[in-house]
Amino acid sequence: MVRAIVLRLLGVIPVLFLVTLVLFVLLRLAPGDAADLLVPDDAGEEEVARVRERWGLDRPILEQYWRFLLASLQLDFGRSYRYGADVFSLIVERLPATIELAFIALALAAIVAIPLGIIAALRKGSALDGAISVFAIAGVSTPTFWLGILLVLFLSAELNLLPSAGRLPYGVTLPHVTGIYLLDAILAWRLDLLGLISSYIILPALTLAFGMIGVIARITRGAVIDVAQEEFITTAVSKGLKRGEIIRHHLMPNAAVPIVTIIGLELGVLISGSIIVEVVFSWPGLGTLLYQAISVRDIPLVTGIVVAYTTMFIFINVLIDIIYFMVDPRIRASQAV
Amino acid sequence: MSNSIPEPAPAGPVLSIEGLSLFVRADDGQRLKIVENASFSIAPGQFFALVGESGSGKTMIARAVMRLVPDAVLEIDGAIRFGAHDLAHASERVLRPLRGCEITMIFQEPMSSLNPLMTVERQLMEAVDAHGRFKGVERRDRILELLRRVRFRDPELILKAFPHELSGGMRQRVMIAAALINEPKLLIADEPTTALDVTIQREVLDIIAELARDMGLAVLFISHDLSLVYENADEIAVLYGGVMMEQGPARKVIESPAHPYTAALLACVPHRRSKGSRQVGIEGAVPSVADWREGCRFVDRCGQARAACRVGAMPLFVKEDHSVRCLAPLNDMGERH
Repeated sequence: MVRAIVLRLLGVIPVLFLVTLVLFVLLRLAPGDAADLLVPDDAGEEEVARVRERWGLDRPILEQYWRFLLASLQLDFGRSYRYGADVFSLIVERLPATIELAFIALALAAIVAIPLGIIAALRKGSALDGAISVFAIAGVSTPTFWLGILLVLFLSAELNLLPSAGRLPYGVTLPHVTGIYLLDAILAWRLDLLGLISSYIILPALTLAFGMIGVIARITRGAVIDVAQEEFITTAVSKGLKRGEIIRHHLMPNAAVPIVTIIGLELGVLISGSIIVEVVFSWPGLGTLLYQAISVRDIPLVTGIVVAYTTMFIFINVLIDIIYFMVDPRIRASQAV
Repeated sequence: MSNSIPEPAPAGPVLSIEGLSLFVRADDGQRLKIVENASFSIAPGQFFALVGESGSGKTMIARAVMRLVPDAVLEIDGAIRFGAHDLAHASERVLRPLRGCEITMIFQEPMSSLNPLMTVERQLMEAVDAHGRFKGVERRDRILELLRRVRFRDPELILKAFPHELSGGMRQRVMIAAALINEPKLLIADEPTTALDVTIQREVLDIIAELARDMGLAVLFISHDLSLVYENADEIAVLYGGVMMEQGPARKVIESPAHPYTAALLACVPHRRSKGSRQVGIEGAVPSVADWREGCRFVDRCGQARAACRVGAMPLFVKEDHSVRCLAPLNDMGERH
């Protein structure tokens, strides 16, 4: 099992290599010139050339890529054109906000969707099952930006129930340890802040979760229905086990693999999907940063952030593989060689 | 479980089925009769073979006894008497303590009747714990004893195994161990050897017969293969198209079959035919439920069929403990009932 995990992790290297290569080439193929954005509008040719040279933009593209690769191995993604700061530290600073939002959204979605899926499966064909299906389809087909804006307009602007932007009100400070505010508040034993922090997370998290609830509920429903028809469930009934025991020990563990898979995929989608939601709710995460970086063609920053997203995506997949190993002895056996 | 006071010999049959008719409710709302007015009883310690081709309704009878099919799908008419209970109309609260304890079941497909994610130990322990007949350290001893009795040479090793690490025959032996662990009164074996290699079929059957004898266990053994059961069976019932065609002590049914169908089945038993002759079968197939008409269900495949066989209900002839439902039994069956 350890060997299999190490192999998975080694597999990350070629993927990252390819992603950076494609990204590097595409960003430079795109029309427009980064140097133009770095200089004032009224700058002359000479100044543009100087800026180009200063940022290494005058070198051949392969050489630029090679220098980028060497530097990125030392986590040096260069300096942001826009902020002038080190790209890596900019990412590290923004990352926790994105992770916090993603996990809260995922937790919300899973807590709602998995029980809904189970209930729908156990009462297949009932009115409740139908209602859950309609809700699921509504969730999948609602655009997040529309839902986000709607929630802001209604709950924040109209009813003034919840804050609509940022992570904390101006003036409230928190000792910065992990950057994940809920965790930091607990570490600093400022439990009084948990409610406040949550009130800021809840709307963007709900917006993100809404689309996922449908997908996860549908997959859970399907997985549970499939497993319920398996012969070992009949065996469990014929052993005289209680209904709850059968669901907990036989039905759910066997339905877990597809559910874990979809949660992993959704988490990947979520991290990139959060870009729009972060912008709508002015959430100071990686998504907002990427949005700003793209709008000013801040190539080092865009590259760095995309590498960060890719890395997270790949590690989530490795994590899902590890969960497979823990859940299913057959997968363990097939990887044991 | 030693008991100093000898138990009085139980009076009457373990299981008594009276006028059992089964109806399946299809998705389109149709109600199809799949078993018609079947009656039989199984005495303590008796090996009762229920033989029939696929589609004859034998598996549904087995599942009806355990009440493994949801009421919404299977409607039961008549009585299934087990001790003081009528299982046909018993509630889940009555059924659950009986399942896996008083009545147990093994299935056709050993590959799918064990939970793939649980070790053998957990699956056996769960069967024990569901009924609490054995407690504490006694439980493990009981499990090891049963594994030894189903002829595992190294039971400790089997305990740690997952189902995918065992062969089909081994899994079926685990199923037998689980079924017998609580010392049931009745074991229902639904084609337990059909999915196994021919060489292993005999061994599994021998184990069932041997343990049943040792434990004084009544067995309802369901099979499509008369040749498999006639050595072990005390009593044979032949089911065709949901109707009990013939029933009686194994010796009588085999030596002097009264129903043309039973005779045809016996003619198909490979080693009963003379050397050099071709393997025979019965022309045609079991009529599907939708094609059931009045008269005898076997009429289209019967060599003795006459016009009267297509009209009305077939009479039941009973001679001592041997009965047949046929207009013209093959040998003297005494009075019409």
